[in-house]
Amino acid sequence: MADALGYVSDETFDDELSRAGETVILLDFTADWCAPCKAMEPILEGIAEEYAGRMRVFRVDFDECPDVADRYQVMSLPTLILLRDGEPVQRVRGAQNRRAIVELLAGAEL
Amino acid sequence: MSAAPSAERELPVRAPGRHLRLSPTLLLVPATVFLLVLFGWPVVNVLKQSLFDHGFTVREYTRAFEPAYRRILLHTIEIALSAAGLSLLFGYPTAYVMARVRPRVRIVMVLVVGAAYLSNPLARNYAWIFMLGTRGVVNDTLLRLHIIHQPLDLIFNRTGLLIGMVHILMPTVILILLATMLAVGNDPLRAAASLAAGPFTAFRRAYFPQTMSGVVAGFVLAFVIGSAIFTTAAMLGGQNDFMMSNEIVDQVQALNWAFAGALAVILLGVVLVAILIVQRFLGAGALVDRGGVMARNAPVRVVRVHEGRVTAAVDAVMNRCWRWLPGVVAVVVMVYLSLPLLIILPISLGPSRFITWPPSGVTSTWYSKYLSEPAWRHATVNSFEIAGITTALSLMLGLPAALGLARSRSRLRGPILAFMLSPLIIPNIIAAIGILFFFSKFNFTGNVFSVALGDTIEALPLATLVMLAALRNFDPAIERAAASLGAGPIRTVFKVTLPILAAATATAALFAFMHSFNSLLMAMFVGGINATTLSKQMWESLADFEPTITAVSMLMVGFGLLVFIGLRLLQRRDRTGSLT
Repeated sequence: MADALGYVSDETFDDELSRAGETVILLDFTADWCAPCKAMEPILEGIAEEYAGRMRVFRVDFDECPDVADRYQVMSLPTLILLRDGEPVQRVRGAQNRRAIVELLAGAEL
Repeated sequence: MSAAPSAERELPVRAPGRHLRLSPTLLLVPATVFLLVLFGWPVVNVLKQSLFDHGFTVREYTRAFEPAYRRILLHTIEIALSAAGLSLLFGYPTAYVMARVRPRVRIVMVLVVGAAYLSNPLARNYAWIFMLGTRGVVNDTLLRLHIIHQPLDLIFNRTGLLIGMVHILMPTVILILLATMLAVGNDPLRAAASLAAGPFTAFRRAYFPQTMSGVVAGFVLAFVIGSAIFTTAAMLGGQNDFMMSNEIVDQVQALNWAFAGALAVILLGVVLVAILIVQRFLGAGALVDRGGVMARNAPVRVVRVHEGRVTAAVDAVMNRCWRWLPGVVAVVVMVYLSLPLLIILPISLGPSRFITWPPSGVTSTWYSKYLSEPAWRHATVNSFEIAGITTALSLMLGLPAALGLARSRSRLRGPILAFMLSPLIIPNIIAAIGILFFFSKFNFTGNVFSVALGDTIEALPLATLVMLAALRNFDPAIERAAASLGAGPIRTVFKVTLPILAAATATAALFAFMHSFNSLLMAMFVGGINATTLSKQMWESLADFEPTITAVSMLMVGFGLLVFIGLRLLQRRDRTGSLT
């Protein structure tokens, strides 16, 4: 279910986020050469489906969105950033399994 | 290789007027005991652990043959066979050209192959990630040249995995084939040409059969190494390219050791069956000849091809292109082997926080970061310490072993030689699991010595082989002359034998050092957080990528190149075993 994940670019990022509706958004910073980012894709698809209605998940390709990566000071890939009302509330670096992501979301009371 | 004729009978080292008498066979004891304790027993213990859990059980094996794991096993065999086959297909013409070009050209080609051989495999995998991505060097170049209009899917699939694996396996195959071809020489081709055979016909009928020992040894070694590679599958492969060694690593990290042991035993079984098949069809001498050097002059059974219309048709086509085809393949292979190593430099100097091609400027930021970050500094110190200890152990045990193997006429010599070389033809992940089980029992993990002892299991046979090859041309009469002049056996070794073997010993030391410096498994399994090496730090950086890794990769490749140049200089001093 690739549709569960949203994809953004530098130009569309702000519009997509405001259109998303949900107050909680998970940004997944990725790149096409990043193997662990690829490995996390099916996990994030599952998470996006499971939390649909409560949270949106956006994949942010570093090469497409260098400005967004700069704005959130992403220094390594993969990086997950949880936004609540547009502000980062949680950040985690490195490849994560499903349990770690669920714990991250539970920490944000989701 | 066979021992020098003058060493046909066992030569006790004896000083005149003294009673000290050393049997060469005794020199084999330290290395044999080391490998029995740290390789033989741990591997047997893996089998035991997988079969006994409060009594005999085949539970782990039943689980290991469930469809999911059967599929992984089949993928592993398929991938290892494909990678070994491709390495041979492209490596053979390359070695063929290298054996026939002028020495100066051969030196350059050997330098390229040797630099690839000694470069850290993880650094090479990273290089391929930078090369093959959608916006990587290959796709970018093809798009700019308008050869393609959409980026090709070259990574995170079987294509990417095979490109990366062949890059790791092919240098081994080429070096083995080159040694065989230099021993065969050009006489068979000249003889066939004098009988009016076309160039390909002469090659097929007179030359190729003589190089079969190299073909077999190269293919089997590539298959063995390929079956145990897990980093390339994780870094370049797709979701269906998960290999047995990846599963074993995952199970070890999940603390399912008995199941990991069962999977390792199954992998070992597959490799042993492959070796038995080769020996059954191609002769027992295919992998290790009587003198103990792989693939040189080993007697192998030649598969006879029925001469008929098909071979005549093939000859007719190939005779036309055989004069240029191997040369074209060799050029392509040289570019393939060297390009990823060269491309890391500009990428590591790029200012972007992530990988971009072409780089938009030049900066030394990532090198400074490598030097300033304690984790990388600590890993560098550990790598040098572990490789230093491994080298010292390999020489202390390997030199007496090589002397013993060259001089002993005992009936035990053959079996001991086969045992000593077995760590090289058994996937290293099995020895690593054995060492993990063994050291954990004694709580001897998490330090540089445990990793160095593990690395010595493979470094010792490598060092022994190098010194054994040098002893081929060593005349024991020189030692007898020293003894007749009153030198004792120990003095003879230090004043006569070791100085003559100095270059070979230094070569063996560099091989042992680089083996340990590039190795990952032992550091992963028994190093813990206290003995993190550069390879382990690079592996862990994969899950949390930042560009310092490009600088580290470049330094690792550069270090491999420097070491290979050092080896070349040593070989110039001592022509024994030189490939040029």
